[in-house]
Amino acid sequence: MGEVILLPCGESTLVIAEQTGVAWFGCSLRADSRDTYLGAENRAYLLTHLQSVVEPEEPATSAGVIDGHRARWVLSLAEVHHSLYVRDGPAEVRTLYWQDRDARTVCVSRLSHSDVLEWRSILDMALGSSASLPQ
Amino acid sequence: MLSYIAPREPSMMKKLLLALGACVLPVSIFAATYVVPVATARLKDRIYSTTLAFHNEGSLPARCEAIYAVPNDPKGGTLRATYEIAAGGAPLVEEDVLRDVGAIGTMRIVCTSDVAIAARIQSSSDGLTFDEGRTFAALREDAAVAHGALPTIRAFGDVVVAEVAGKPVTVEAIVRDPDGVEFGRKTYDIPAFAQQLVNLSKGHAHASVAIVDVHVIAGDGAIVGADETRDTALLKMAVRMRPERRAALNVQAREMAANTTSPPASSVIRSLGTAAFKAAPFQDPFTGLIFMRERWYDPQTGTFLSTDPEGYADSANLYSYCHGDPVNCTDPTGRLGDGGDLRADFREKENAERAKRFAAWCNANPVECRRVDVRGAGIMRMIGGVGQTTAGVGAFASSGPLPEPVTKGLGATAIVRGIDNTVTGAVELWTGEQHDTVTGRALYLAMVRAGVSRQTASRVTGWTETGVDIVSTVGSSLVPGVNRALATRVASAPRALPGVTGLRFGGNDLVYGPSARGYLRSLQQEAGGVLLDDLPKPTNLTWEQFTTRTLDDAARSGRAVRFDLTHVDDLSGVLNNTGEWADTITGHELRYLRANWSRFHGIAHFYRDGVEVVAPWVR
Repeated sequence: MGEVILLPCGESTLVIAEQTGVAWFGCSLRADSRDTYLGAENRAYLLTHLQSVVEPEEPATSAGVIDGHRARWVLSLAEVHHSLYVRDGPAEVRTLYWQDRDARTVCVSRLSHSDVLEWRSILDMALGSSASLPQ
Repeated sequence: MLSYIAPREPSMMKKLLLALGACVLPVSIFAATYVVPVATARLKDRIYSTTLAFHNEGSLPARCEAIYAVPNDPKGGTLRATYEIAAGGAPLVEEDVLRDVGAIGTMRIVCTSDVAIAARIQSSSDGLTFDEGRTFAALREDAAVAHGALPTIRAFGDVVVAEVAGKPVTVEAIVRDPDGVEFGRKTYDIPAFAQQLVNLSKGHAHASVAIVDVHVIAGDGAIVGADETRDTALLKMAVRMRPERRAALNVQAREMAANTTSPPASSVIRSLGTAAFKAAPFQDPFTGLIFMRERWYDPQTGTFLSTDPEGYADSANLYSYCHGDPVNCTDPTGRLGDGGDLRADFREKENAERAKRFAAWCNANPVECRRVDVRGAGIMRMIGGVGQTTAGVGAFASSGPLPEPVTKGLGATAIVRGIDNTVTGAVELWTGEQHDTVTGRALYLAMVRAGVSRQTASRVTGWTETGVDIVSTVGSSLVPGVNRALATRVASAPRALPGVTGLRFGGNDLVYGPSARGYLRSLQQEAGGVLLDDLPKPTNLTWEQFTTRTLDDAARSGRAVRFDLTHVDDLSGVLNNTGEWADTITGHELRYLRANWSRFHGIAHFYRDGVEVVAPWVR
């Protein structure tokens, strides 16, 4: 077991867990005690791209439409090739869409305002601690 | 979800059914029972909490039930929580267990199959940010020792003893060295649901493994012991509790306080922020003081108002150990807290006794004493000489940015002096007589011949030898490391991967290949370029369509494609669309490149182990 970062995703939790290897982290979505493996990437990639969920770059570029709403691309993961998209708003609320390699939406989660605040806080802390963590 | 259960007297029918069940189902559905220490409380400016981690290494899902017996509850109530642990998956981490109800003691965890469990008792200053912690491996409850049941629990290194049956118990700890030599024994009176950390392995020079045997000598309780682990796995985990979960626990704690006549330590603990030793009824409504284990605690000042009349202020539980800082403090001398470090105490006594006997013998046998002294010094000189020679060889063999005369000169000096010291030490050990080194003697004679007085020559020789030894040994030890560091800086190279150093791609080149647990990402970071993961994928494309379209765009624009084959398993199977790797994205990409090779020739380049190779289908 290595470093584990937990991010709330509505009723589920995004679990980012260090695997063997060099700063290589697996991502799983945990809901009702069941884990769905989404893929893996390195730590810096995951944290910086996930930060764009709550701190979008301006102007935000749409990657297309999901469920009738425009969504922007956040990240794609190696190994099983899931991709994450986000719809902004209303206000600070975010809707996350996970797509599998066949572009099927496998999970939709809604981040409340408090979830967004917690994401900011956890990601800031994790990015701030990068310097002291083994690379 | 945590739930509080106050037991009731079972009806006659229920007793009968239980008895029948015990006959018919003699084997529990649970495969293993573990006991872990827990501690959640606030003490002055530090907040302690417990995190549990479950890891199911089996192939089937497991279920664990955690049961905490509430101290001071005349009804014998318990708090229970159930956890479902997926098979072979990521560890289930339950943070801040029992935080909002306050707890100290042990938690029994019953699992349906073998599940690795670890408990971390951690501290923070703000309740959110992890400061320090210790991780304890769970102990199988069948290792618990009941009253009068010998043999003892045996542990190596630090050990926790904890009472679990709800009644005071006295235990005895016996400490031995690895050869079985007993250093001493000590008894501990442990109140109900309390812990005692016996620290044996940290902080003293005699750091060989200590063995501690613990057994019950009085009382009707039971104890468990758990080897403390310095495993850092849990220490890295995030320790933030989700706000809604914290709120839910607070609501639950309030409900428990309202619905039970004797709630577990609850609102008082939370609102006053004091240690969770007693429940609400022990707060004085007029003074605000809290009654804790026979003493009054002032939450305003964070201090007790009197000494402990029972005399276990520094021995009863984890918090009183090291004056209430069990997570950060260790007690190597046994003087800070209860004196848990028996081993160090007895080592100290033994050494003092040995020194006294040796001084008496020296007074009676001055010549022999002198020989022993010289032989001891000879051994030290030999050891130093061997180390010096080794350092010198390292420096002599080292190459790098440091000037060669410096490294070779230091190395040669250290080797010569090291051999001289080793030989001289061996002679002193053999004869018991003091000898000069060859180099020291030569220097002394040269100075005397030059007209320097013998006294001055002797003094200067001593200083010179010492100075040369220090400079050559320290310098030689540093040379290889300095050379490596300088070489790294000069090359300005990031962390090198085997076989990758030297590859340089264009910043816009597309880097393809199996991710290989981070290898491809590391290659891209070193050599340049971008991975497909770095490019925004349109929502309407499958991954296969996305990679194909990106390759087509590259063929049209002339953008280079760098394909790493280092970790492509069964290449011929992949190309022939057979075998277990045929259906991978990498397999699809390779076959697409081969099928359209006329378009990609000159654009796609292939690499294996950091070296460019021809396309796998080109002879």
